[in-house]
Amino acid sequence: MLEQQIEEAKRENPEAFRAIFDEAGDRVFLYAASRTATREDALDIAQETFIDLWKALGDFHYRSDEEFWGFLFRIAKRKLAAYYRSQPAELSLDRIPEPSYDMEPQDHRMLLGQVNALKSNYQELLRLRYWSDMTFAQIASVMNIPEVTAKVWHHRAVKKLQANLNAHENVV
Amino acid sequence: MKTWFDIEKFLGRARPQPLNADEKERLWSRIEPALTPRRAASSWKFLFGVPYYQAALAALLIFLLGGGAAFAAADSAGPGDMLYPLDIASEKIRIVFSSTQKKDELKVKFAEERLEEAQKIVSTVLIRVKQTHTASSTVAASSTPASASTSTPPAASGNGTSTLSSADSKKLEKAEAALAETLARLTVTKAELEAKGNSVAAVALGNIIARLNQLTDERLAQFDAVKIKVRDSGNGMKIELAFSSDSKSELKFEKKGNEKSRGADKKENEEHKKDTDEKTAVKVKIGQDDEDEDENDDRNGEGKVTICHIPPGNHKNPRTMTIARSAEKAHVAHGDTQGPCSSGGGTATTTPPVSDVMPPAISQVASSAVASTSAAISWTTNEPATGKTYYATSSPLILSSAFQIATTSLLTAHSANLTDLAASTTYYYIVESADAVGNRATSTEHNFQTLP
Repeated sequence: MLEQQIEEAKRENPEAFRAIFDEAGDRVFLYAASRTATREDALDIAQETFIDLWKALGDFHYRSDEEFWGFLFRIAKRKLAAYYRSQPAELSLDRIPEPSYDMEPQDHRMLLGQVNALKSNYQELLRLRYWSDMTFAQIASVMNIPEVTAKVWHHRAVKKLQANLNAHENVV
Repeated sequence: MKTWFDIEKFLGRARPQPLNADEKERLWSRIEPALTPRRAASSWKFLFGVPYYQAALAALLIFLLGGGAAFAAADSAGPGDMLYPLDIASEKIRIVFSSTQKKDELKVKFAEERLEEAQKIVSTVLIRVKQTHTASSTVAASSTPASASTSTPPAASGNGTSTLSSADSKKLEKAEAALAETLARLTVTKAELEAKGNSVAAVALGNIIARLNQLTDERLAQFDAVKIKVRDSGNGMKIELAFSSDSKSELKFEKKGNEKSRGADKKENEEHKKDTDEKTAVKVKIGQDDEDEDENDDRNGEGKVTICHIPPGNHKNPRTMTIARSAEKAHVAHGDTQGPCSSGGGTATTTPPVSDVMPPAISQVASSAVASTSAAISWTTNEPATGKTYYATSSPLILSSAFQIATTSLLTAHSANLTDLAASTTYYYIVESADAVGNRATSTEHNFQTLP
């Protein structure tokens, strides 16, 4: 399915690319939105990511869905890195997260704060897992680590986050 | 106090809101205008997507060519010694890549750059050697009777520097013969690849054949000696090039399967992969030539035949040569005739025997029976040839990514039925025909529009 669309898009078929966009747009956007100050910034990053994907697709050779996600998210990561470089440091530090309607605001803020306090690879993994809904195989491809490692890191990241949050609660 | 007992649930809830319909369309409207046709990738890059080939050997080539061995050999070798294998190696590299890995792309790119550098160095050497050995190159040139070049008669060069000795001329002949054989075999291999539908590889081989042809005409005359050996063993094919008996290079083609290994672990591939059937490997070896390996070496002249050699692509310069009987077939295949050339007193009034160097002429390219999802393409050629139709919805047509319909039977009236087309769409197409010996012609781009 995804393979056919990729092959078509490689042949410069815009409809097939639209299908890929439908499939991947949310994930790329959510991944970006978890790390940018505003939704507009995340939209910009998603836009640039897909334009780059179109250009780069000619050189992409499909082997598995996982590899495609890895390919796509490496582009997104580069775009995010460029975004951070262009941002004044203070602005990206105390950015205001978009409200989540599923959680109480203070909980949401604290959770995000604790996620941001984790090691960067744990942060990345949690974002890919919970924000972009990726499987461990896909995460492994994006982060260029073995799948087993992704699972181990995930376990540790969750444990660490839990411990930090509980400690925070106890202090309060 | 809140307990974060189910942290994973909280994390799932903490995600930002996904794109809403409006945002999604807005995003797409910003992406869509940028979906312009990609520019055609460079030759090595476009081949990169092809899984049949492995990048392995590119790394090996870099190792060997970059390791100083090549330069050392070039220094001590005579004119053209290195030039020739490097030329071929540069073509080979283009075949050898595989994965989409950036790393491998870079490796190939660096290898190409290095080859260029090496070629420059070799060219310098070539000029230097030419200056000191003008006599031999003069003789080489004059051995092509009808050549328009200003060659002094061989008699004028009896000035100490050795003229072309009989051994040298024998070597030259052998080189010619072997080269012809190489060409014939490559042509066959190319046809095989085409039959298998591996057109990318066939095109790459076509380039090599063209380069070899060019070398026959332009450069071979400058070489003191070139020996080429081709061995065809089942899946693999080995080409050995030896020069001036002090350096030797070896190119080995091996067809391998379509597997996913990556560039870095390739060194083990250099040996044999008999288990798989469609993989290409190239092995380059540069080292000392121990003369005794030359199968074509036939010192007492037995098993020799005299032929009139018509260099492919340069058929105005026929020359009489004595070649090993084993090489005769290859010569005849590219149009040489048996027996000495019938040259008429100095000025070349030789009637060149008919040699097929002309690609088929394509005419009457037309589309017919255009419906909403299908169309028929037809064309004719002036000689029996294969037919291939490339078509796509974008112009200029990029052959590597276009749809293809191919037939391998040799015909003069060709047709191709295109199906599964989109309605109300302009399709662009190019037809291509190759005759029995692989001369290839391509039409200009045509188009038609499917019905609504």
